[in-house]
Order: sequence, then C-alpha cells, then structure tokens
Amino acid sequence: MGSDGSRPSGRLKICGGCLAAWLSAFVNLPAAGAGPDSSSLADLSLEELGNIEITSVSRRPERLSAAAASIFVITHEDIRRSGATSLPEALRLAPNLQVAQTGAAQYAISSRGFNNANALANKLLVLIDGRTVYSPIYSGVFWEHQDVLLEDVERIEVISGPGGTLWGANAVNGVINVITRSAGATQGGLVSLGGGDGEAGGAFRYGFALGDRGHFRIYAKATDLDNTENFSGASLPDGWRSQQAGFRADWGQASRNFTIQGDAYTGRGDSRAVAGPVEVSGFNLLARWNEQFESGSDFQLQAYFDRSERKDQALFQGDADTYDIEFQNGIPLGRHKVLWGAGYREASDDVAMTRVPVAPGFTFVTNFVPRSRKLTWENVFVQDEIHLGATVKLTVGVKLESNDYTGWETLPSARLAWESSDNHLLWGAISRAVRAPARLDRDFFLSADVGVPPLVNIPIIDGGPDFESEIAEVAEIGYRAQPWTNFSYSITAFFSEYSKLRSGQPSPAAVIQNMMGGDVYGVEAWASYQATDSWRLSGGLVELRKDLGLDPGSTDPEGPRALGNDPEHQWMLRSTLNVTPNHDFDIMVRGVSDLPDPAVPDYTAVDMRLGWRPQGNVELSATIRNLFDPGHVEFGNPATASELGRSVYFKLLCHF
Amino acid sequence: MASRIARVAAAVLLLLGACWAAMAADDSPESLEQQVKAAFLFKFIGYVEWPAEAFADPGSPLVIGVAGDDSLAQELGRVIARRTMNGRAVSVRQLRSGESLAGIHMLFASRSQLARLGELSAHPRPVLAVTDVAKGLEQGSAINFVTAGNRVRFEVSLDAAKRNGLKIGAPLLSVAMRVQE
Repeated sequence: MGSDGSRPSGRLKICGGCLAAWLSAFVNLPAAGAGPDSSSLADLSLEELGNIEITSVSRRPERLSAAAASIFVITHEDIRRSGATSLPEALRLAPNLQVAQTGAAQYAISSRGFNNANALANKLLVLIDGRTVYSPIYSGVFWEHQDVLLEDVERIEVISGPGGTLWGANAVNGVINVITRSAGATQGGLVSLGGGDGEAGGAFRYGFALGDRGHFRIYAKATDLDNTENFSGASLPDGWRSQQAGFRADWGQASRNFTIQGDAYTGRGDSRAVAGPVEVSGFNLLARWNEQFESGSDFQLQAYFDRSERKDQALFQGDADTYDIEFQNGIPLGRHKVLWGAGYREASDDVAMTRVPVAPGFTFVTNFVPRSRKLTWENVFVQDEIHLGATVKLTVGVKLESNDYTGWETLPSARLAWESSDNHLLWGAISRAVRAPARLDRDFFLSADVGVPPLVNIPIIDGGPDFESEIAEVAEIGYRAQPWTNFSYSITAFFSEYSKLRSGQPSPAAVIQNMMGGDVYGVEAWASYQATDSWRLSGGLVELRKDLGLDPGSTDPEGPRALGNDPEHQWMLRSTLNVTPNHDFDIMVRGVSDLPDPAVPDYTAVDMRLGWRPQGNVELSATIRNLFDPGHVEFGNPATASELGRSVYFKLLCHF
Repeated sequence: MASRIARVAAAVLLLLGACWAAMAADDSPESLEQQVKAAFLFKFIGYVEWPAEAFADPGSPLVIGVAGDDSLAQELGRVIARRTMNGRAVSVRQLRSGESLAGIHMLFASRSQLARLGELSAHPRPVLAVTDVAKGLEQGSAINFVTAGNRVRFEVSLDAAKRNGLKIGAPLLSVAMRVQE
C-alpha cells in the first residue's frame, strides 16, 4: 500500500519510543503512596456522588476520571439543556464525534474520521441499552431507525478510539452507548409537546411500581419533520414521520436485578418522484440479569431479539432478524480484576432487489446475492485489570470474534493508567480493531438494465468475493485532570494505522477489494469550567489529519474520497447559565472546517435555548438553532444537499 | 505494516512483564463503593445542623465515629485529611465495642454494630446515625445508604434526626431517594 513501502515510519517510532519511555518511568515508581482515593470524590455534589457509575470502557461501573480512554459522557442534564429533539442532535454535545445532518432525519456520524452518509460510516459501534444498532447488512447505522425518549436517557457515553476488546468487531473508531434510566428512576408521568419551524413532536411516559421491588414504565412518542430545502430553495423529499412506543421493567435489588425492555417503531418518509417513500419499522425485546456477590464478583446475562425492516426503492431494502445472547463475569482476585465473557449473535436477513429507472432506457438494479442469508457471530473475551501499586493500573485484554466471512478475528488491547492522588490521570493504550465484512462488502451487486426490451444488463459492481476485514492499529495517549474543583480537562492524541480498507475497481464488473490504507492521526480535547455556582463554560476541539492512499496494484478510480469526508478542525463552546433557579439560558457554538471532497464550506452554528420553570413540574423552553445563519450545508454535495438554517422550536415539558 | 504497532505492543508488554515481578505487593485500592460512601459521609456534615451544645466550643472539631468498618474509617480519614466543613475541622474515630458515644457527632454503624443505634434510641443525643443495611431507617438510623442501579443512594428519616435534636437541610432531602417523615 502507498503508506507502507513508500513512507518511512518515523513518526510511529518516535511515538513508540515515547510510549516506552513513559511506561518505564511509571513502573519504576515506588509502589507505595496514596491510592486514587476518595479525596477527589468529596469535591463532587451530592447528585454527582449519587450518579457515579460508568460502564462502557471497562464494561463495569468505574469512576469517569479513572477510565483509560478518550471518553466523553453526555449527561441527562446536558441533553435537557441542549434542547435536542433527537438522538443525533444530542450527540452533537460530544466534542469527540463528528455529527453532520444530511436530511430531515438523516445524519452522518463518525468519530476520528471516515464519516459518510446513508449508514456508510462504518467504523462506529452504537448501542442502545446494550443492544447493538449497527446493521450487519450495511455495516453502519441508519439514524432514522434509532429513537429513544430523550427525557428518559440517563447518559450517553461516547468513546472515541478502538473498543474492540470489549465491544467486538466494528468498534473501530468509537463506541456510543446510550443508557436509559431504570424504570425505578422514571416513575410518574411525563408529557412533552413541541413544535416549531419544520418540526413537531410529542411524547408521553408513565412509570409505576410493580409489586414490592419492581418498577415499570411505558412510553410513546411521535415526531413529524418537514422536508428540508437545498440552497436554491427547492424542497427535498426527506420529510419524516415516525412513531415509537416501548416499555421497561426493572426489579430486584442491587445484588440481583432484572430488566426487560422493548420498543416498536415505524417511520415513513416523504414520497420521492421515482422511488416512492422510505419506510422503516421494527421492534426489539431485551432481557438482562445482573448479579453481584458478596465476594465482589458479578455476572451479567443478556439476551435480545431485534427486527428491523427497511423499504427504500432507491437504495437498499432489507429486513433483518437478530438474536443475541451474551454473558460476562467479573472476578476480583487480589490486585487483579478479571472480566471475561462470551456471546453469540445470529442475524437472518432478506434484502430485496431494487430497480431505479434513472432515465428512459436506463435502470439501476441492486441485488444482494444470495438474497437471504443467515450470519452468525461468536465471541469470547478476557480482560485483566491489574493494579501495579496504588496508582498504576494496567488493563490487558483480548477478544476473539468469529464471523461467517473471515472466521476468527483477534482484537487485543493494552491500557496503562497512572492516577496520581491529586486527580490527574495519564494514560496510554495500544489496540487492534477490525471492521468485519458486512453483506454490503461481499454480496452486493449493482447493474444497469439498458435499452428497450430486450434489455441488456450491464454489471457495474460484482460483489466482493475476497473482501476481508478492515484493520486498524491504534496508539493513544491521554491526560485528564481536575486541577481545581471547578475546572477539568481532557486531552487525547491518537495515531491510527489502517490497512485493507474497502476499495473498488473501475466498472464494469468492479469487484470490492481491500486495497486502501494509511494513517489517521489527531488530537481531541475538551474542558469544563464552573465559573460560578450558576454558570458553566465548556468547550472542545478535534484536530484530524488523514493520509490515506491506494495500495500498489489497485485500480480504484475513486481513492480515499469514497471512505469519508472529514473536517480537519472542529470545535465547540457551550455556556450554561441559571439566570435564576427557574430560568436557563444556554448557548452552544459549533465550528466545523471545510470538507474536502465533495467540497463543503466551513461553517459556524450558534444554537440558543431559553428555559423557564414556572412551577417545579412544568418547563417551557424555546430553542433557536443556527441563530445567525440563513443556511449552511453540513454534508454531501452543496449543490443538492439539505441546507440547514435558522429555526425555532418551542417545547412544553410537564411531570405529574 | 500491521506490525509497527504490534511490535511496539510486544515491546511494551515485555517491558511490563519484566517489571511485574519486581513490583511490591500492594493492597488493591478500596472499592469505589466505599470511596463514594466516605465522600457522602463527609458531605452530609454540610447539610446537617447540630445544636451549639453539641460542641465543646465553636472551634472544636466535628467527630465522625465509625463502628465496625475499618476500611471505611480509613477511607474517610483520607477524605478529611485536607478538608474542613463550614470552617470546622473534622476527625474520624474508629469505635471499638463498648467504647462510648461521648464526643461523637456522626455515627456510622455497620451491619454488625446496629446495636449502637439502640444506645441512641434509649438516650437521645445530637448524633447523626448512618447505616447501610436494608430497613436501616426502621432500625433507628437517620440516614441509610441504599445501592440502587449500581449507584450509592441514601434515604433519610426526619423523625430520627429530630429525636436526636438535629435538623437536616433541604438540599440533602431533595437528593435523598426516600424521605421518611
């Protein structure tokens, strides 16, 4: 590959040298000294203390400041104060994500580059309450399928960087973990009604006790989004109407508890000239059993079923039934904390052929061959968290995961963290992650029917019979500190080497290959400053550089542009102010530099929210998006893409 | 190319492997749960009002007695090391069986030391009793830790506090999982 032979690997050697140097500095530290003690916890508020729990990085509760990864947590309060009305909008709060709106309900979301629309951003794993919503057909996330009642979300953990050792294949560049509140924490009623420019929505939730130790909630919501317009004011047929309902039951106690939850949804887009509307629907049911023993060990057993259906004449139409079961067991052994687990997943899909007449005598035909397929995945993982003295923690682990296309994949990682007693954490990690082939990589055929009957079928893409897993090897180093009780920050530098990335060939009869690779590196940083009791300032930025190229011998006509369109700089600033205890005034400013190919100009967007609680259980709010902006494009070809401009949204939220 | 990072990884692991053996054995840090409880105990002080006569003089320290949980007492010791609350120094005392509650302002009684609560019921005095057992409030404590959804929460008995001449501030009550009148 271009980056392999032709370029010296000096950068990484330097990086590796530093890594070794600081690692050896740590291991020579005396083993005595104050541990990562509760001293810093005493600076938290009562609410914060009561909310300490963090699961994504280690798959078990951990204090955020001790997690050796680039993790940002979006809290319930952050979501409320952002005025976000959808999950992707709430994800804009994470400085380590790139979120670009591509249509009324469509988004391109990625981390550390490789962003793409139409669920083609394939290196970010997304889970909602432990259920993966990453599609095994397309290897990506259709954001318009994924909805939650935002008022019931406890937090969203966003990890940028590889998470394969715990989360498996496809957690290449990041993991998003959406965690809803337990039924016990969402008791009583909630009604939310909102409306404004181009958008209206309503939601209802009711939670009640279920016997002595159990709780239950049900919810329903509906959203109606108008068509967006392009720069010329032409309406794009991307309007979206969706309804979703669900429930969650939790019972038991801390030492043994059970959860059962499920959702059902349906969504429909505006009708398009040739292809008609996009229609989606689905439902899921999940059960989880958690057990904690007095010895300190614990286990979790989780199983779910997920059905998703998608009808889109212009692109893909596939249905998938997914069954998943996984088990994990944590065992403390003196200085070691061992976590191991195993899982099995099975997805049966059916992807219908689509025919899109684009011109007289010319029709695109997409086919998945075979049309139906059952894919299975098995995995086992083990991770050991070793306390090397009171302040140094080493976490090593590996996951083995099998898939039907490439067999067993190995996903190892090693993380080292040094937490000094005064709330400073220095960490480093090396990991290998893979993106396993999806149906789209192996079984996708695109052709064109040309002429008047009898038609001639010209093959354009002929699957990828030899497509293997894409590989990322990543080195990260990070520093996180809270030097004063009211100020905290986090900085992460990363260097990722990619190989065997998806590439193409010139048509006709192009075959999907793995002939691209190269380096991606950058810095992610964020900080939070509680200026006064009622005023908080926070901000973040990402610098990203990509150096990708075709391998020698590849005839791919597109090159790296097919693998995503990413800004080099991105920043955000947020101010959250309690004007009085009952009045919120919040501002968020986001800046995104230009995208290279297709060229999208840079933009700065200012969002503002005013909130008022006339009584404790009633909140009225007004959110203005793109306050100073008549319109900007966030992704795609600016000549045709959705342009997003100023809009106002009013919302009434009532608890009873 | 697959190997540049793999080589670094191997080198790092080797280096660490060599160093493990040399590391002195060290107690693993206290569990997060204990750390959170210790932090809570310290924070509670800020929201509770003791009668003036509970202190020998305005400058005398507030004493937290811990009965039956030495690791929590040690953890608490670390929390208070560099801190004062409302201008008052705080100290921690590990209470042995039979040791009197004289001079104690807050009492944490572990499961095995619940009998201590009986002393308070029999002879009310300005001591805030804290427990972490099921039905702790019913046994006479003013604040009881409850683990719910992998979080440490607490419940409050206003009655128990009042009986011992203590007032509990509204911010504490608003965070409590349950408040018993």
